[in-house]
Amino acid sequence: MPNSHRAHCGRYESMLSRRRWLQRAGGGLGGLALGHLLSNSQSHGSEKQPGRSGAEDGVNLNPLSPRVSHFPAKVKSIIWLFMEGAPSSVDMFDPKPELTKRDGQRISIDVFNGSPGPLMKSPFQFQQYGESGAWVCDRYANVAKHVDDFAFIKSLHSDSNDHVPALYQINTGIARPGFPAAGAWVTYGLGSENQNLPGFVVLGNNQGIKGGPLNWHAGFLPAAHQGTLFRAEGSPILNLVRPAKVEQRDQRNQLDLLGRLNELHREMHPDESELLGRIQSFELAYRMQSEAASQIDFSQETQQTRDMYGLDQQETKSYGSKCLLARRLVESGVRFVQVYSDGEWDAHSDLAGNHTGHCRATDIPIDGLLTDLKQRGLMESTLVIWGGEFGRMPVSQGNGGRDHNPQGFMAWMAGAGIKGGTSFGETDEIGYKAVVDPVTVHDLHATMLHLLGMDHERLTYFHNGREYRLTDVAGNVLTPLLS
Amino acid sequence: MTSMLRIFLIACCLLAIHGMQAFTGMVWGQSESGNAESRVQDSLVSLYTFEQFENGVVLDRSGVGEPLNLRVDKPQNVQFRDGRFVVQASVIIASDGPAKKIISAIKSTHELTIEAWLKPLDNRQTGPARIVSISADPSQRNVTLGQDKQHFDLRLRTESTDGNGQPSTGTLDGTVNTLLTHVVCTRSISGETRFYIDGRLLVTKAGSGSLNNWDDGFRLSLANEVSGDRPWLGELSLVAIYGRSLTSDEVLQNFHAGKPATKDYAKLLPAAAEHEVDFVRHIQPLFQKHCFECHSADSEDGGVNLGIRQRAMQGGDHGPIFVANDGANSRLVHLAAGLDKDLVMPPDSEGLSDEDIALLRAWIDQGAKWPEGVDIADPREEQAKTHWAFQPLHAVEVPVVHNAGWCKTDIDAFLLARLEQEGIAPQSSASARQLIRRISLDLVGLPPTPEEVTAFCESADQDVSAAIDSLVDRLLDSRQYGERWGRHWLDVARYADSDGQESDRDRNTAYRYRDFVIRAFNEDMPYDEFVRWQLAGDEYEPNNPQAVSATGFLAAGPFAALPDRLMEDERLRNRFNELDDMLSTVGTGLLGLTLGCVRCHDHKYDAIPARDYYSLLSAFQSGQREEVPLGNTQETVLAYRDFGPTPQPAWLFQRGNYYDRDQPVTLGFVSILTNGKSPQAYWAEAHEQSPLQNSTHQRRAIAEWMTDCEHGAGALLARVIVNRLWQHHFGEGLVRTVGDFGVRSDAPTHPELLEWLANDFVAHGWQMKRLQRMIVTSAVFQQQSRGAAPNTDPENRLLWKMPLQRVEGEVLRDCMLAVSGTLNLESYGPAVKPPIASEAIVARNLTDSYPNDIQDDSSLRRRSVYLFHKRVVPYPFLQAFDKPDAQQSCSRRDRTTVAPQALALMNDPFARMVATEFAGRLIAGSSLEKDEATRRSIWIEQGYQWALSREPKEAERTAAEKFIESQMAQRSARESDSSAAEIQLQAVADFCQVLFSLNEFVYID
Repeated sequence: MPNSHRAHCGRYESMLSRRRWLQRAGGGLGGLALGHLLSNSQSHGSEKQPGRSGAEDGVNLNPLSPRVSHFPAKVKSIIWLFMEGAPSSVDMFDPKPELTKRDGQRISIDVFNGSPGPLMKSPFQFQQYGESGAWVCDRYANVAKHVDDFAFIKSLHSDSNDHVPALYQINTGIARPGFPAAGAWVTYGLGSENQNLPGFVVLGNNQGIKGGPLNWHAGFLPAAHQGTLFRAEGSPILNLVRPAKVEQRDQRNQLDLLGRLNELHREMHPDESELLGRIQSFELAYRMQSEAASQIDFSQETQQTRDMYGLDQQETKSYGSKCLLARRLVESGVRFVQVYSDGEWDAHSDLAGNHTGHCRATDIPIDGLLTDLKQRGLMESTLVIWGGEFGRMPVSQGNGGRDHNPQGFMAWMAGAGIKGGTSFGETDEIGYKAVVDPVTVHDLHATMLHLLGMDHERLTYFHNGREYRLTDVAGNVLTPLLS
Repeated sequence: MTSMLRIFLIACCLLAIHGMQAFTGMVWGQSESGNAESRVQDSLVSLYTFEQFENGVVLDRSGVGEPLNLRVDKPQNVQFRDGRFVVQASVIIASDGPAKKIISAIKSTHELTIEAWLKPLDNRQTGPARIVSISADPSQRNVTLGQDKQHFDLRLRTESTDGNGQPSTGTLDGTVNTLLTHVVCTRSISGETRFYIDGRLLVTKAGSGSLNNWDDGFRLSLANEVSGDRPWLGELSLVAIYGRSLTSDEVLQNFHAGKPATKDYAKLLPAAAEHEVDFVRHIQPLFQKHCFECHSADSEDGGVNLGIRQRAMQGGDHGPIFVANDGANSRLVHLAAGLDKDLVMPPDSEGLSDEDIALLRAWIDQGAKWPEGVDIADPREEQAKTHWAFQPLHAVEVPVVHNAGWCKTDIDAFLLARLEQEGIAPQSSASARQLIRRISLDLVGLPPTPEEVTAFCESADQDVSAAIDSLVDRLLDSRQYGERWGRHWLDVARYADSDGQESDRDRNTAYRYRDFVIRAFNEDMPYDEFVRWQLAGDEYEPNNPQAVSATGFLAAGPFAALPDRLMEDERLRNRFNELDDMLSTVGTGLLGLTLGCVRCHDHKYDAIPARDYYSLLSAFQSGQREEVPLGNTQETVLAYRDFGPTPQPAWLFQRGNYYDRDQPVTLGFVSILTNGKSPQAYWAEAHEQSPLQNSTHQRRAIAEWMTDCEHGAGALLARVIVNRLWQHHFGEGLVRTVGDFGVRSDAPTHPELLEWLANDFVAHGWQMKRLQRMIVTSAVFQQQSRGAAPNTDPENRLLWKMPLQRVEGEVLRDCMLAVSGTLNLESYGPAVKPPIASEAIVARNLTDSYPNDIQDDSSLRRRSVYLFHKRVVPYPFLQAFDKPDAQQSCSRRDRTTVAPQALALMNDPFARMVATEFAGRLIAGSSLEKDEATRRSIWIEQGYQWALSREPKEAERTAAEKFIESQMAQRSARESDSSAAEIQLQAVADFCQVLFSLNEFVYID
């Protein structure tokens, strides 16, 4: 390539030269970016990196074939329990005595929808759990059993007060639409273990997600890395069900004829690997039909498992099914699964009612998921993340609600590579702004990539004149949370 | 942090730190030359220089008192290589008896210094691994210098430490690397311990306590504990022990006295050039080409700047990089010549040639003369001055070729000249059938009908050129041309029919911009005018609906205004994102400049300061996207309009932060592309000439500048569009980075051709159809798309064959509809919403949700360019085939091959439905035949003619016949309720679906 080392601008990146050296010094480990012949994409990263996984030798037929990480990984898969709408930290895991004390006091504060109310104490009771003594509200008693596995991040902050930009930011690192989601970056970097399933799966909710598919978009990465919406019922993936009047045998014969005719065509173009790739993509599609459908068949699961996830209770059935599906997908080698909660934690009024409902819907399923992952040894290779797109204000809004707050919110991580029973960062005494060890979304992403064995500064993609990263020009791995 | 990562990062940091490590050329080993005298001699007690290694003994060369020689217990584990003493595996290198002379000297002063030149094997060894030790075992010592992974560690027994010398004093993690390193630790009577690495003081630690508790019986050992259980691996070149503390100057003196003799560099390097070397002519171009990216302007990796004399002479963070008059021993030369295999400069691109090294050596030998006034403070400006894309257009001669008879157009001469140069023969011409299919798909995105194919082949039999000329004229004159080529432009314009963002409100008038684009292509609007209208059509012809609609270009990006009640911060963010989207699209789309980068800082590579960005942006700040009335009608279009005649105040923001106003700015352009005519002059003219009163005319000024080949950006504008057109005909641009023509862009494969095309394009009135006619009638375009790749150009960059290209999703859909006979060729007008499976409609809270009950009918069978593109609910079939998301300008689509595409063709109800309609068409065409076998044969024959513009070959016919027969049998056996006609229809539909899925159907041959 004529442009052998187009570094991205990163002028304000303090570690630029380190990264640059790192690329140069460690070229052998860098063959991470895809060199997929099939996409013809401008993945300059791959061409400048000498290290290539075996899958990249010769004709690489699938951009999702597994790749070697930069360094040994603790985590193979990520399950992100996404609490859409933004749960309130001070009402869930981060009680603030000062807020209780100053309940009803007015403070000067700027809020998204205007008209801020006075400080409002949490409507919930809190209790300490586990050896770590972590505080959890009384609505999350089952999740609370696992706190010694959790590493809390209590000082997250992001840029936008509005749901959609905030969703885009927590998913893609940038509070604007059109950038690749973390899951897309992950499969771009690592591929996936199961070729008959998508590598990045999104378990959405029935009413849709604000901002839509741009939340799991491939952006400028090759489209193959886009998250696939997978449903727990019916046809899990789009176009997975054969058209009416076409049975499996009909389709098998079609593919056999297609293969035969395509081979005849290929004799005229023996050097075009794309043609071969396209022939094989039909066979892969054929296999995906049965593999994906089998994922949502829970009939082999025991009653004990069903109970564990709350599949037979109306309140927990939806999120429980998604949690169970997430476990099955991870067990089958899917790399990145995002599990959106149903409805929104967006408690502009009646926070107590809103959060109580969402806790009921997710408490048992999450407990079940964590227990099940442990029982199956999957906790050794899976990272579980819990959190929303931002947090909520310490002051009230309307009738017992809270407005959006991107300046201080929380998440927890559990599983492989995580030091359980820890907590990092703090908001101020009323839970408004992150003040101790503030953590950015880039830091969260850098940590996720790190646990997957990737250096967030080296996972790059060349687009519109520069090298892009999930973490833009920032991000620090949150080492205190790592085991 | 896991240890693996940590080591890795540290190792890399170290490379950075030591990248430009100072090195003096004076050579320790040449003691006879007197250099050894420059080392500090006072209070030296023991000295090991490893010059000789015989009989397993390392000699004490201090000349002080009784030599304290050291014995190596396993000589096979060490190697005496290249003047260095290499410990390859665990050994004990220890004095036979107590290190009496050292211990007594130190106990008398309570001071000591341990100095070593060493090169650790790695930065993972720990223990600490003992480098120099006076001790008994792992827990009892007087003193030990060790390595603990990434740092050095000094354990020194005093009366305030334990017998193991703890607490110890260490350097920071990251100070150990695997390069030759000078390490000094010294302790003064005050108790202060200092660590120096390569002459630099890194650690100062206060301490206390006398050394009275030192044990007189301990032995001296190197590279291990005397007990053998703390091995250190690596290379030792010098170990010195002093009975006192050295000052910083003395440490530096020893450091400068040089690392031990290892190599005779003069012999390892290419000989110095013998002639006089001129800095400006010979040396600076080398720096410019190989070094400036990391070592000039604000990039000073390792603290080295080779652009400015004074900075270069200072050297880097670790000292000088030149040795005066001694090129052979200058660090700069060693790195450039690749003598240090751990660190080669430049690191990952082609390095300097032997001739270059010879020049560099000679230049330093001759005194490194660097005249005044030739410093390059910012090479971006220098580079911009010479970067090909930023130059005015210049005339190019059509080259002379040997095989002139092959050429059909001037384009061919340029291509052939390169091929002849490489000794590659072009492919022969494709057949008439291939050509009509290729040219039709290329120009209008639809396959020819079987009748058109037959007619073309017949006339081509008479006169190929005439047949092609008339075909091309017909296609360029058809409305389908604008629909095909307008679609390419809509990618650049990131056009869609909704806002995007949370609400994703439908933009029901945006299509008028899309129609403007299609019309502009169909009417062959000169490209410069096309650009002017898109930037400022309202300021040119305010009463012309087309001109006003054209500014939909600026408005086409994703955006939704936020209500005023929301926080100011959110609204400002939204506004500046909106403006950035406009300017980024103008930059990438029109000029091939990545202006978006400049929002936060001066451009890293191109000489575009932040001031240029904000000066351009100020024009767009004076207006906004809104529904603009069209003439006197009730109709409006989503377009762009200034707020009024007064420009809005604008500022240069620091780092893109809209609360951080640096300085006010007014209208300006990209300054490197502005030559001899000021923005104010353009603006004054625009103001004078515009018929529109209620506008600032800044956009018109930009439009004039941008299309001005003499004083403005016109030359670049022409090169960029010519390259875009080329890309869509051949799959790749002459410059592959189609949206980036900056100094980091790919070099053109055929620079002369690009220049010639741009000149020709401008000279003939910026007419795209004329240029495209020339391209598709060229010999290069009409070559076969097959042939064995020559070794010299396996990627076909020189176009020795026509590349095989996959059609876009839109073309695939249009072709399916066309061959099934159901394509609705109605042109222009509001976009139509195709049915989307409800499971693919997954966004909440949309102001205008996507209907989930759309019934298919012929009004939806329009060409794909007329399909409603809802940003948050993209049409899955097109999305699967890489249709861009319209979030940013797209210069080049991905062309992926993934399973969801296959799933769409296999299972999408649309694909099946159209296949069934195609089957119906084939069956209808055979209705006069009674014989089953004849009918089958007609289906296959006609299916191939429609879908692939050719007859089936025998093998294909046989396979297809067998297939249809077997599908019918299979279906009859299980569907006893279905009529024979229905079974036939489904079986033929099975076949038609296979035709749609064929590689030949989706690749333009």
